[in-house]
Amino acid sequence: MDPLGDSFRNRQIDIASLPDYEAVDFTIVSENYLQKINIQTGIFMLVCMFITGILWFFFLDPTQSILLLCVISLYFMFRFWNNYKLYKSLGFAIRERDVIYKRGYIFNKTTVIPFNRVQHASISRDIWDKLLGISSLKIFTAGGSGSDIGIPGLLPETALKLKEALAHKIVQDDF
Amino acid sequence: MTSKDNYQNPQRQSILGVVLIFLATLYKLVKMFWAMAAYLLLSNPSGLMLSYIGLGSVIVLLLILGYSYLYYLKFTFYIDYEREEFILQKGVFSTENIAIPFEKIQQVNFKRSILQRFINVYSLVIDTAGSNQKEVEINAISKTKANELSEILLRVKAEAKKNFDSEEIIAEEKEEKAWTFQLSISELLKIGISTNYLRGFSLIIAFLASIYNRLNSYFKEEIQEYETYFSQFSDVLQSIGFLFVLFILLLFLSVSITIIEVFIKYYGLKIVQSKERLELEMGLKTNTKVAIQPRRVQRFKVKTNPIQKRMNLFEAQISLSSSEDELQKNKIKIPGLKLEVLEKIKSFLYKDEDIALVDSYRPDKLLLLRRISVIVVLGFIALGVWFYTTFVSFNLFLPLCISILVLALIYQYYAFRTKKLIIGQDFLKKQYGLWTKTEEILELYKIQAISVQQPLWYKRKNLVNLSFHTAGGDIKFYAVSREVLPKINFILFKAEVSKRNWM
Repeated sequence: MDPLGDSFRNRQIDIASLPDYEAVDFTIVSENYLQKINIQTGIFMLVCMFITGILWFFFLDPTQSILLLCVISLYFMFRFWNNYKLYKSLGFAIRERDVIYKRGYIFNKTTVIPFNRVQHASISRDIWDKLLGISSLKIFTAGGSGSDIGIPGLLPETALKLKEALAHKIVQDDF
Repeated sequence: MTSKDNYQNPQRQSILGVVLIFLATLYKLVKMFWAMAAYLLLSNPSGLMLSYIGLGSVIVLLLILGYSYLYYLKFTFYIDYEREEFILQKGVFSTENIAIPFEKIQQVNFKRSILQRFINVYSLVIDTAGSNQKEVEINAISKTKANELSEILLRVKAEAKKNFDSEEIIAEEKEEKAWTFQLSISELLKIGISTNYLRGFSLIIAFLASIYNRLNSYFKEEIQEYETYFSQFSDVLQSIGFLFVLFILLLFLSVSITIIEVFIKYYGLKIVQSKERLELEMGLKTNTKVAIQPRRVQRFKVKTNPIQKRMNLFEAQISLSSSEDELQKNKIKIPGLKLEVLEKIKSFLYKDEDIALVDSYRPDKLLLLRRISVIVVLGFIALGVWFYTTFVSFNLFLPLCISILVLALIYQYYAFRTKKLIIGQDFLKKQYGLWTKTEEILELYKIQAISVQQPLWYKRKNLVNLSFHTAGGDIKFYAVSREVLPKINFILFKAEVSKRNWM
């Protein structure tokens, strides 16, 4: 009943000599992704400005509107700055046995998914991705939404290649 | 479109699928805009207006029809035998390309709604262990095709699985019973009384508060006339007596409700351990019967509180992998276990528990600081509320507030002290809880992924938040020193070299 059978060994492992997931070189994603999030934020900003304009015209007096405008501009300045920082912080790396994805400036988060735990991968492109010529790669595990990752801003060829490499790894690793 | 090529070339779903998509989109739009439409029609529109509305709806209908047709055209699926994947492409404005490796296919199901029955198509759903199960659904497919496709998928899945499942021959041996555990009625009663103590406790508080209120309002009224004094005093006594009866009744009711709940859920709880699995049976109304195999257990949680510990009652929670059978419960709660039984279950589930080479980690004081600051803010909010309402006198409010604050601080401090992450050679344990002591156990090779989080303000203190993702939920541990990271590498190593089946 021993699942390990004849190959059973139990050598001690020197933890300090194990490969460090932080020591990898991260690949950055396409700059078009920064454009995409900036466009999205920009559209949202225009909508907000438009609403402010309407409010100004019909309901508010100048001081109130200027105050509102200041708050909105500060918020969007923060958003654009955050977009830039977010883009800078995005990176992924493929090792022999796992994929590593980091994102976020204020909340930096790094997720490591071993290939033998990947359930499936998919490529998705929304309308902005299509216009800007990028794709995003989603990797799903059985660990639920917390451990699923979506790497945005990949060139379509890269995304496809990665997906195929992943599919290959998944199959290979199961033996 | 013949199926002779075994679905190697991209296929579309049945053309009748257009009807389904059309109706589904229409339904969504109607749900969004029915109020507006009703308003327009009820507002007594002029003839011109009516014709505009009519024209508008015709255009919208045509657009939806066009969209549905495009969606139908773009929705294709095929089997890639070379890469051993089932591939589905869909989406008009945004496209999605989903690939499912054969051996990740769990099940192929058919479904049929009334509408699908009406236009004689089936819905084919491919279950994977991944989280986005709904994504892989072909909504309109004819019966023959559905049968063919599911047959092919199940076949290739079986072939792909064979290659690495062979080590795991499911031997239908004669199962010997190792031990049996049964929960007696008196123990059920004990569980009932000791589980919902909070409800009883809150009842007692409410009772005392209302009595205090009555007495207070009585003594506040300055009563000068003796005649009314006595009659009023007896009134107060009467009302207190009434409250007392009410209190007893409610307490009795609350306790008996919990006992009834416990009986319905856990009556006849019986655990039988055989060689391969743990069989669990319980429940009065809906009889739950589960067979637990060690490899399917993703997470194991043990809970107890001082009262229950005195009575030798422990509660175990078992999270199973959440795929394969959706009808089966994913989290199983077993209350009222004796310590010996608990140890037996543990040793059955985790045969090779290794206590050597264990490291334990504690969270940084920053976490405590954050909790304390939340309490202090709450204190200020309470002060603010008091300031505006003044519902009790200040010299009552202040000591009350301060004592609650101090109690909360002490509680937080000791609760903080109980938080502990233990990483061994094969196991990971998380302990926490001051009153309800909880211990979660996870086998390292059952890890699905690990996330390491670092908010900006952790950087200076070199702290990180850890999430260990499993198929039975996440285990999180906050504000731990970066010194833990070599252990993360170790856990990843453990998961990556493991060839054991994790579910």
